[in-house]
Amino acid sequence: MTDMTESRCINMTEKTAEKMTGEISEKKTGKKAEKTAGKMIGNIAGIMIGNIAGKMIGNITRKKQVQEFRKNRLAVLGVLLIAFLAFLALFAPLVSPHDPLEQKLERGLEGPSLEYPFGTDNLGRCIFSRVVYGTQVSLGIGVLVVTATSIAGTLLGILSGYKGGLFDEIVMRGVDIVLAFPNIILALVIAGLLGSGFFNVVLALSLTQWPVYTRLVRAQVLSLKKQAFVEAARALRASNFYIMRRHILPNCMGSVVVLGTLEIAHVIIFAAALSFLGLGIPMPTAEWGSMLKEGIPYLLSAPHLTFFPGLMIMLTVLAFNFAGDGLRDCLDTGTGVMA
Amino acid sequence: MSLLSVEALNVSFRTGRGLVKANEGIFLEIKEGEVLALIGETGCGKTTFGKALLRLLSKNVMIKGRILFRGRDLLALSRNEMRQLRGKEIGIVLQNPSLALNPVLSIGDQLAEVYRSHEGCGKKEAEKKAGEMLGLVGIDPSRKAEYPHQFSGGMLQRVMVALGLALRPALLIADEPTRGLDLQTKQQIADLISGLVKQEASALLLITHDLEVAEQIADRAAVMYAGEIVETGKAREIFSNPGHPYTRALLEALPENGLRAVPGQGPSFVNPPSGCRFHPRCAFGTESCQKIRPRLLELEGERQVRCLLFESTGKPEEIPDDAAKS
Amino acid sequence: MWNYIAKRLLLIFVVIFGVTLVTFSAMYLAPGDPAEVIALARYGQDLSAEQIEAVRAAEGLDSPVHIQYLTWFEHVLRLDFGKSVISSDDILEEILFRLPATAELALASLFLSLIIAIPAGVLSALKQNSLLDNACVFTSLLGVSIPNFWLGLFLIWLFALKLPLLPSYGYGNLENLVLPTLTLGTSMAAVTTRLTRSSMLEVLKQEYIVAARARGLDERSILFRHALKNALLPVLTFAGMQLGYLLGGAVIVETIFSWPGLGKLLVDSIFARDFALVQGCVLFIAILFSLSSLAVDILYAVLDPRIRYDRHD
Repeated sequence: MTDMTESRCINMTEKTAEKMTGEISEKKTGKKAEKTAGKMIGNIAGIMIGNIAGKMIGNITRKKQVQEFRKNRLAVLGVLLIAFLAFLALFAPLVSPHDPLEQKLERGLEGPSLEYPFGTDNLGRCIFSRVVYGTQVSLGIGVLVVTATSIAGTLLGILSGYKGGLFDEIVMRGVDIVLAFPNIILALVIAGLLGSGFFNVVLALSLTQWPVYTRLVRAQVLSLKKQAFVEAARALRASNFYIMRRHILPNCMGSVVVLGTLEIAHVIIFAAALSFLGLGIPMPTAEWGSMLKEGIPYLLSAPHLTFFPGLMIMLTVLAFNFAGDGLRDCLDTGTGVMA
Repeated sequence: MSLLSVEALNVSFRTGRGLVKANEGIFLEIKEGEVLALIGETGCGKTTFGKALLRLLSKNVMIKGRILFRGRDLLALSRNEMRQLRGKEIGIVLQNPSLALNPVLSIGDQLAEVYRSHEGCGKKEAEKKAGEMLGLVGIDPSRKAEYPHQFSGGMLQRVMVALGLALRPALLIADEPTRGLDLQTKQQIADLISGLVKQEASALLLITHDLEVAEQIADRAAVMYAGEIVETGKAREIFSNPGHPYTRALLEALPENGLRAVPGQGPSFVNPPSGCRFHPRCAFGTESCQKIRPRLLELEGERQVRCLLFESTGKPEEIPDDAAKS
Repeated sequence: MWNYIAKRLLLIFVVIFGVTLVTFSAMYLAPGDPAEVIALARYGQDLSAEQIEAVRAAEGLDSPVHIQYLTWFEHVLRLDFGKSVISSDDILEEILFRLPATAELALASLFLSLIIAIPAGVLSALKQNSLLDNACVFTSLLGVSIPNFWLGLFLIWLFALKLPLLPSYGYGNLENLVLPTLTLGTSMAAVTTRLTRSSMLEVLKQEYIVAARARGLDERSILFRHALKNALLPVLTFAGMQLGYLLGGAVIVETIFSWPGLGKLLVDSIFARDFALVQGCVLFIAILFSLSSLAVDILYAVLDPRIRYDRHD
């Protein structure tokens, strides 16, 4: 059911481009989709973040590393911020004072007040509530994309590095080809052609982000393969599957977790950029990138329209960058600056 | 008159795990033109000692004591004075030449740079001197435009020796110059170094775990264990008649003496053993060895030993042969 | 080194072939009948079936997909990127017409980022853990985290609206270049600063730096001759990746500042559903990026004697 409203919503936005935001019919469907999709995303985001946190902790079992991480104040700050954002995403309906889609045209472009903590936008919607609901979308995309790509990319990297030969050759050429499209370009084209919508953005970013994991993991597998414990396992006639699962995978996990954390930051910026260009999340869904876009005409008269969504993007990205840097320092995975 | 005299040298590092005391209470002397071998297992603090002499250790180090070189305390010199002394009066050949040479500069450049920096030579003159120096260590001067990765391990070691001796310093410190080389190359490098220091009348501090090389070219030897000097004396005497149980153990580990490795593991520098630091691995240890910290005893014939067994007799022959077997 | 270059060249042909495949098939992601979409873009809302069929025949959309690809690929090999399905302009001509604007913006931003990042990264590493270093680390992390579209809007707000000093859009004068360059250049500087710093720290730990000091060389020649040369090699390799960042960032920055470059052309063509133009732009950008990465790799090989004189490879 969610899918249906979602896709209807997409079709409509596509055909009527950007002008329809004011229309009531659109508003109603949009609102419905917003609520169901929002709930789902919130749930997914919560579970994913829980999982990732669990993974991190599993990897830093040694007390020293936990201490190291704790000593890194920025990393702790990052984790706290992430927890706060996850809280916002999960409890958006409780936190936000207004419906993020409710328009009060007569109260448009108001500055921050007690009733509207971040003010209102041109359609009289509560910016604070929209920013809070935007957390669901951004974290949802970030977590979904990173989960999908890190699993797929890691598996490909392990198989490619471990098996070598033709399979490796094919996978690595695939990696080269995807990475031949600079930065956001391929995602832009895919999202642009698929049409805007939450899952199209997730798909576009997933299709373009997996190679970073594959390349990293493959390089690690190649060096692990030469290690004595892998050769010993092979000498003991352990199956390839067993070696990959027991010896290779656990040794790659550290850097994958670090890369994944930093990648969430990347993906969130990319997704916001797509929406900012009008190729991402369709209006009127509360999404930070498209809120920035909507605020441009009011840049001088009402800068709060663009200030708060941008601030949220920055804080979210900063949080994941802090956490990722901290994790890298305490796991010492040598993922490199850019990973 | 001694060229270098180290007095009560303590070197420690502040680390996350606490204070690491790498060198403790070291007294050592090197005379003009003398070859002194500093021997001991890998990780006993020899390299730290060598680098401490030239103040080349990382920023988290604390150095106490005095390092007198021709009467000047190196620890009291300004940074600039120290810089002028390095290379010019004391040269050093660091361990592992493949890491100690800059990979993106040709060896000729790296050598010429020394002359340009210290002697203010012009480009041409510096290159000429660099070529001569390469010839001196047995490298064809026409290879000066080549880069470190194009040389073999033995050849790189020759480059390091050329760099260390380029300015004819009065003292050369050579840190493990023969490590990782095959037997023949090892011999060539040992001969090269001892030949050149004689020729240039330089003193040599040979830091090595290779007792054979030390025995061949050293006049005197000092044995280091866990950051302390445990025995010093004339090289010939130490190798023919070792005093300290650790020195004995080291000699027994030589192939011709049966390849019996020193039992146990190297000690921790953060929590060193109580009493004599060698007692957990010592074949002759007594109960008092666990409690009393032995001092460096002066014995006859310029011999010094840090061992309680020598307190009473003062003779290196103290340890009975059958005790070793028990 | 020649072997290395030959190998890289061979690889780049394979990659470019793959890129054409991806670019071509991406067009089939668009929902609906491509002929209808093109006709819609060309003639507007009220379409007759004849118009759609005419488009289908004219664009060769009635032949099987692989034939369509081969025809397109053959044209691309002859440097014929086709014509815009809407304006019928020659695509390569349009791209080449737009290229200088993007090149201008990219080079200015690269220059700006390097003159900020290299001194900042080096100083930060030399004074590790000092106040300056901490400030540098924090600022660059902040810089990495600020989305460039937000930074662009902020700069417009400040310099074009609040204190009207500079134009917020337009192309041609030097003053038009300032804000777009600041937007793209500073965020890139943040990344490069981090890289320079960590690379410099890594080099300063190396034994050859201690060895240079042990020979009594002065700190200046240790820094400039021994450390910097090694530390900047990874920064250079990274400059290849940065070109990708520049081209990707250009899409956004050009859109914000109405900068008539390739990125703006790409975004406009996506909105106009001008498939042929999208294909042409993406392919051109990908090839440009691949070739410049290749150029950077070769430059690296020339500068690093370890690769330059490698006899085994």
